[in-house]
Amino acid sequence: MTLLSTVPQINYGVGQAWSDLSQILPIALVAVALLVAIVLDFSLPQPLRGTAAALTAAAGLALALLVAALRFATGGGGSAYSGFASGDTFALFFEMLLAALGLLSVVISRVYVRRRNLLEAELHVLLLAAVAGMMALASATSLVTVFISLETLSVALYVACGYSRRDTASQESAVKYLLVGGFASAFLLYGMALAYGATGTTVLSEIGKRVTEQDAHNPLLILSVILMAVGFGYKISGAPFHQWTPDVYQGAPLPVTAFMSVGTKAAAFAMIIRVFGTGLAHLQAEWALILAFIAVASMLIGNLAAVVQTSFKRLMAYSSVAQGGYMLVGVIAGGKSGFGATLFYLGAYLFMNFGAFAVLTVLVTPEGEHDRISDLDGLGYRHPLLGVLLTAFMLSLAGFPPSLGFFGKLFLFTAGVQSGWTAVVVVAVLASVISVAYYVRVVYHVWSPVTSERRLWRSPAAVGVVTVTAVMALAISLYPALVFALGLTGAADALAAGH
Amino acid sequence: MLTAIWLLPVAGALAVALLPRHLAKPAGLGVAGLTLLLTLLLAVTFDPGHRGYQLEENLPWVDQYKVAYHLGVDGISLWLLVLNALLTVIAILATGPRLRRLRGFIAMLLFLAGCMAGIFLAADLLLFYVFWEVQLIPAYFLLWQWGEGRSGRAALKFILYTLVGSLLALVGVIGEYIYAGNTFQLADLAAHPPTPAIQFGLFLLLGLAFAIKVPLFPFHGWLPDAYRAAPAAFLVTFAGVMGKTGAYAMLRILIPLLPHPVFWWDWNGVMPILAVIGIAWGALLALTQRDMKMVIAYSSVSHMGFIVLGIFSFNQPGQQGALIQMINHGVIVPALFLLVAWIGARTGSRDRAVLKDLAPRMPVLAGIFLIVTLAALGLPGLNSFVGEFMTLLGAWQFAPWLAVAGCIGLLLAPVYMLRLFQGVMYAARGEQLGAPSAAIAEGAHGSEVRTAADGGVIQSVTAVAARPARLDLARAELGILLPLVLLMFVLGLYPYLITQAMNALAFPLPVPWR
Repeated sequence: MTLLSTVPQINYGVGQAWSDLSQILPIALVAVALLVAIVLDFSLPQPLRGTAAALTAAAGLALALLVAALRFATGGGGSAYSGFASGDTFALFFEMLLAALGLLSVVISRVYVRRRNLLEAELHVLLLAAVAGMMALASATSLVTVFISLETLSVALYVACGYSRRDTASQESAVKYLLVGGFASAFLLYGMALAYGATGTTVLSEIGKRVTEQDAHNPLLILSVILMAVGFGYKISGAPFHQWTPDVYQGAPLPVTAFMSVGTKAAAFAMIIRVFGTGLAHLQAEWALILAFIAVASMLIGNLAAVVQTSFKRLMAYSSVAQGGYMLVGVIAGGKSGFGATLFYLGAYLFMNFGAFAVLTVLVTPEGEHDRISDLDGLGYRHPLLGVLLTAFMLSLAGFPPSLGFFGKLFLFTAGVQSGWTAVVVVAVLASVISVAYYVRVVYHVWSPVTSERRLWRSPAAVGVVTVTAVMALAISLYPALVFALGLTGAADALAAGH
Repeated sequence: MLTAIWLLPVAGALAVALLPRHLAKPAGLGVAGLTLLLTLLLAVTFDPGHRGYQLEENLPWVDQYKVAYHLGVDGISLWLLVLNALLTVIAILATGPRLRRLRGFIAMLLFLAGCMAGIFLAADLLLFYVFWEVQLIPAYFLLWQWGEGRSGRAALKFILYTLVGSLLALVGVIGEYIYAGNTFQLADLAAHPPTPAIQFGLFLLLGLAFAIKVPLFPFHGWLPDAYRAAPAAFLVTFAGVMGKTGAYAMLRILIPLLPHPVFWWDWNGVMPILAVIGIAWGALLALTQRDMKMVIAYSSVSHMGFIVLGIFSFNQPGQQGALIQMINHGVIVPALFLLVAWIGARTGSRDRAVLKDLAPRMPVLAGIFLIVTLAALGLPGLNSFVGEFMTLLGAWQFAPWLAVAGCIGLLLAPVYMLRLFQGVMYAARGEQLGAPSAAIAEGAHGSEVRTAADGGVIQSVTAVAARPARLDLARAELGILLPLVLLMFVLGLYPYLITQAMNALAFPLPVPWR
């Protein structure tokens, strides 16, 4: 009976269809762009395909960004498809973030595939599919849609990781990601099944109403929370489920790594906040404890392992493990200020992390990526603009004020201390001290004497993307209240759905 | 106007970095000079009878946490701002035009000056923290890119030491916000101190950061390496102002915001003891150094101890003395470092054991060196005397035995300072060297010796002997030192200039025990 009650009504008219569609309009736009790009890809002559796909993707993403921003400005939407999806400001926040990420990725992908002589159109299609999946995940408000969206984005990324077909590292990356990702999905699915078994519904707001504090003694739900936390841990590459991250990040083509380092993390955090924050809000004491362990382990293991890396991509992989740990502090703290801080940090992370990866494109040659940290030697003297900006990104990731990363950490840690997780915050701060060692090491190489004879590839588009991310980061850090307000609004909407 | 005092150097730094190389020094000087004029204007318009911040600027910044862009100036910060601006001018003047990557060096000096001005100006705890952290970035680059010897290691050591403190201070800043009335405004925070037990924890978090920056014994581990590596022009502001930011933070934040850091012991009791140990320890280590630069570096640890002792004596003479001493130290130490660097550049050695009988060859330099030495060891009539006297007076009123122990520093200062001056500038009867070049040659010979103290070789300089260089101070160098020497007399004879400002505080400095 309960299952039937969530099935869409029979009298589903055009009006209802339109109102439902308007709630997920940004996702629909990206999906349309995806289909158009596929059609163009097999209908146009070979030389035009890449450009056409890039333009389609850019247009779709720009439209999605615009629509999401407009809808956010008008207060956001609400529940759609009988509670299976939502167009609230929480979803819109992520849709804006992911559309911006997609736009930046389109440019970097184009620059990259042309340099490496790879096919172009397919990469844009794959990234569009991943963006659509990520956006859908952020607006998914039922366990069913959560899982479908997650698989959409994961499958697209499995393929994208192996995009460089002649490169064994890329193939290895794809296989590893597929195997581990499938494993994680299985955990997650099992946990979701148990949650459904315990509550009789998959709609998160319904679960939120049916689960009470007394359910802390319900073994079915506790097991479900544990299994889902494991699945989430994999997706945000939280320790001890982070083992796949360095290999996948290193092997995947640079634009894919840059894209998924931000996108997967954002989508996964949206999922965690939706499922735990909305659906299982009354079990916060239980899931927060599990996530706190993951957070502490991620921050310590990620930062310590990053210190000894010699590959920039691996260093950034471990850095992203640690950064995921910081973001978890906001989730653990919970409430509007906690979730809002995580949202702000994800926005900050988009610009500083993507910017750092984008700098690396100037080192790419047709043969390979040259991602050793020592390949960066003297970048500051060979290309002062990129040197200064990479320095700024590293300092921002390390949390130096007044950078974005600083404000992100400030909001996260304030929320953490406010809700009594002071010990976790102290660990986070000490972990940040460790992180300075390797972020500064990158800076050290950037301003060391030049050792490599390889010419830099001064692609104006890549330099443009780096500059845009840096300018955005600077603008937000000068007046962080604005983006933080957006994050808080989104967080409030996500919380409201659970009560 | 207050915004201009920090923004002008920062914007100037950007401009200098983009200008052609030969314009870097004039442009940098122009910006620094303009800033100095602004701060002097500030000092003239400053109302010494006014309570509270003056010339405030207050704009909302991060509304959600009530963070404001709030600047203000009061009696504690006023003269430190002037000192910062003055020393920046001197540092740029003292920069050699042939320095490698000159533009970057001057840009970083200006950037640092802007950040430190921001520290003195901030009336919002978070804004203070932002400036506090940013100052590390130019300091790190200056130490690493333009330092001598193993500067990369020294810079990394410096930044890791200070970061451990300042990141923990972030937790302290957040704790202040949460436990002291959900605001970051310093004046409001001072009006609502949290419970003593909370203060105990916050004091540890914040005090550690400030103690490392000062540096207070036993957190001075970064100092010898950093000062050894730092180029002289950078040391002018690095030693002259940056340490003061720590002492200033104690006076501005620790004392008023956390007056009762008591749990099972009282942090306020620990600080003066550490200060006194620092006074003696710095002086003793200064005695054992052979490198002249290191003598001054360790004497600096000793002098900073006086400042902390004065601050934590919780009475007016002590805290006024500490402020005077901050300015004094900022006037004396840059002069000493510059003199030592110039002697080193002329003779090729900074080893005090091998240099001697330099005074006949550089009489003007010797004269200036004598004045600065006497100022440093606290001769009445010169500036240090007033500050040390007042801090010890304050310490005596607080606890007489602290003042007695602090006098060890006063007793040792003449020993290491006069030994340094006499040993380098004069020679015993019969040891005088006939020809100027012979002294240099001997210096060059002796400097090959490895010193146990620093484990490194003090530069070898056989070439200098052959160079019949002009050894005395050049007119430009004299011009650089003259304002500092004048200030030593002015402050020594008329300290009221600084103490009167201490009546115009932004918020009162509480007295916890009496």
